[in-house]
Amino acid sequence: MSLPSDNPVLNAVGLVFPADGSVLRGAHLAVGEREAVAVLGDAGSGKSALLALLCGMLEPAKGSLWANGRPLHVLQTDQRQTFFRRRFGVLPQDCRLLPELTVAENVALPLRLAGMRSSQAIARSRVWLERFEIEDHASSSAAEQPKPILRRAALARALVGDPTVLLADEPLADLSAQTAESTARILRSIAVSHGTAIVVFTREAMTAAYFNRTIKLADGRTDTMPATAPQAAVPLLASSEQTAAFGLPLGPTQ
Amino acid sequence: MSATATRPEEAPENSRLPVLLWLAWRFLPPLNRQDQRTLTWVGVSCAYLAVPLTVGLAAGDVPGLTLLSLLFLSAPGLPIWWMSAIPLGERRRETSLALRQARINTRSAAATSISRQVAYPAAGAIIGTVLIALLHGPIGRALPAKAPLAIAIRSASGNWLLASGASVVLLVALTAVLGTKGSADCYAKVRRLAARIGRREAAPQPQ
Repeated sequence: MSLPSDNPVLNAVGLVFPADGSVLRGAHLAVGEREAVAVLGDAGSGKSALLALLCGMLEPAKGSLWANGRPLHVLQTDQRQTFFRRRFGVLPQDCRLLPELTVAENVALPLRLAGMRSSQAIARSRVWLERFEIEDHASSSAAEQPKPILRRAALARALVGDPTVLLADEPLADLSAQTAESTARILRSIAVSHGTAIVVFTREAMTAAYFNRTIKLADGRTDTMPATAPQAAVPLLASSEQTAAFGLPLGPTQ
Repeated sequence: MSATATRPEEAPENSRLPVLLWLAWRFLPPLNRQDQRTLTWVGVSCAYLAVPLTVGLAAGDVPGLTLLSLLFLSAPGLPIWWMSAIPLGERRRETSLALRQARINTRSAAATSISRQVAYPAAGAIIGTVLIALLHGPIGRALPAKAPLAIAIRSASGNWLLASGASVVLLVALTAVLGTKGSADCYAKVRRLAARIGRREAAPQPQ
């Protein structure tokens, strides 16, 4: 059984989804600063639903979710969405880059949308591409890149805004063993150097082994004990379109 | 520059506008040959369809048979229009998805990704409407007196500007409707049905 972090950045307690618990029937997850954990579960174990709940795309029927010690149910829908946009980086399994832009422009996009000047944003995106060892592709069109490059570029895009939490669905898929290992090493080092809490969702035990801690998810339950349960249920509203953006299943409340 | 720079703050919605406009502009040029073909066909079909549509909208009281003839006149452009609107819609959906993954909210993503779905049909429709609005006089005289297009042109109330604007708006809106997933599914069903009928026709008849 995996032990929860003492001072979690992301703390989910007893998440149930939907109301009958057919997908998740009590998932606990506590991830601390500088920690890179893997949620390991087979297909149908509830990984995608847990990811959707953690990034506010689905609303849990029961349970609570805290991020940075902040109860998210206190926030209005707009505030909550802004909070997720600013503090969370998400890498969906079906990650997409804009083929009309270069790789660097794609990575720089969240920074430009945050108001950063183009030259500054591109310079910063190049630093991240260098970190993921794909700086040679920075000026190439995203349309011409193979999947492994696109996946690492998508990881760079999710991290470029320096999020508190990174939620990544199968981030090492499509990568060769060697590249997967180096990417996992990079993610672990980012967790330490940036204080980012990284949660990787995978069905591969080998992928999970690359990270500090493994939380097993089976039949909608995690094998971890809940960290201090802060409050009651958190309504995390989300639109169906937002959910679809990350290739996640739609809940009955949509 | 260090990757550990400070976390960028959320920009207000109006300061995102230049970036969104820049993105909309970047989505306009075709990506590859196939994309170029799609965009050309959607423009050409809208230009072609704009002619009977503008004449039909500008016409006052015309017999139903004349309107039916105008519909038949537009028939050759309809399959090309439908066929090319589908990939345009698919690209819009993919672009919107990628934008939302880059942390753009749903509404802005939808508005930004629609640029090419508006630009190309609009360009084609404007060319078609301008041509017919300018040349309807000579065309009406050149055609036989009983030709449906000539009848419709003769009965036109004279409000060509309004008819031109309405047909551009209609064609752009209908191109967006034809680009939806439901339309693509319907198109696939029609194609399968046509192929089945084609095979039945081609099958050798028993002696």
